[in-house]
Amino acid sequence: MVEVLYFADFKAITQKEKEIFKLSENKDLMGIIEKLVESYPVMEKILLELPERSIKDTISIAVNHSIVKREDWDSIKLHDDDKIAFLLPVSGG
Amino acid sequence: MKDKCEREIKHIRFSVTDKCNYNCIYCDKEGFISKSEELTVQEITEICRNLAIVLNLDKIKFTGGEPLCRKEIVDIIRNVKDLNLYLDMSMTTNGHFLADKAEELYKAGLNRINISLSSLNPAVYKEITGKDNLNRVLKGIKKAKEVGFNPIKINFVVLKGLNDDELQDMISFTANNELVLQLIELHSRSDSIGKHKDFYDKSHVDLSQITKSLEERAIGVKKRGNMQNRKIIFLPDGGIVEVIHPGHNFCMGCTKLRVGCDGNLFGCLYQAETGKNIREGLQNHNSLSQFKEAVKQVVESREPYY
Repeated sequence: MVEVLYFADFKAITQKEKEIFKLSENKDLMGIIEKLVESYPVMEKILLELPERSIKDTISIAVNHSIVKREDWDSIKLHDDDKIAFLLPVSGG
Repeated sequence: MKDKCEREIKHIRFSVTDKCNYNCIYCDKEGFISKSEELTVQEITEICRNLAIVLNLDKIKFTGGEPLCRKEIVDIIRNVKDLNLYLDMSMTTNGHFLADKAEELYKAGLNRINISLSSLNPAVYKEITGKDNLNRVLKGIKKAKEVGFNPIKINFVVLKGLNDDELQDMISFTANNELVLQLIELHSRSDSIGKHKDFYDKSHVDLSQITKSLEERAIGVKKRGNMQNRKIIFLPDGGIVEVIHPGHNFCMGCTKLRVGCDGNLFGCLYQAETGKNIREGLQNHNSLSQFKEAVKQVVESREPYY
């Protein structure tokens, strides 16, 4: 099980600060995103470029307080008790 | 359009009035004192149109003084929205009139709002702003959220001996209410409005140490390359803190031009005196090419202050 921490729009959507999700079989980031989108369909267009379903460039992802480099998004493997945060872009001045 | 430091102009900061109903001790008056009467609503609309076309930009922030002191503010927002040239329209306000105006502003086309909140302590708030209105502003923030403004940013100018002990309270307040906290380091005022060195020396807090300690407990830190290289810090309690720390790095990330309420276009908070008045060319026959030339001169005059 991993914990997803919510910020900004995600906090407003979920009305929670965090939530526990079961790891997917592949133990990857996309698995968590699919579970998020299943629970909160509105997150799909926030997180993913459609129709290709790749994670948007403007998103940053932190696992256990470290930002994961973009080039590692596909390869990173998650573990039980990992904490994941999707850091959405904050617009404007 | 880029300046000589290769900084592309992407944002306009447009003062619609120099009137304000508050008297905040840290106010930099947007770096200018107006030299003639306020632009009319029509002039503001036309200038916004021309700036969007000439600079190929789509972001604007309305400021003052206090922009909600301008009685035609909703018309201004609506007019500029109806140009269909601006995608991001925001405002900075003291929040005094926000509870009454938020819905109208949102419907007129404003989509983001920054609210100055100097303290969560009523007595300190009064000391800093000159007004005993903290509750009124808190209601304004609530209303802004209800009507749909997103994100809402809280501007907190850190002042030594006044509110610098409220940092954690502000972080908690903004985190609990899904607001973004902007920690603003006091900067010195420009010559244009008269420097107050004593105030700066007494009240200035260098935010580097605060930033460092926030980063140490952060879940993640991002840097906003298109917005003055500002750091944005995501905290474990859901707080989002943006830090505005003047310096060379900050200046080198600056993509703004400023318009004073009298039509003076200038390239930096500290360069109002070297601006050009762009109201004058509005009635001319070849106004857009002359306008572009005036804008170009201002852009070329831009230099990093730090």
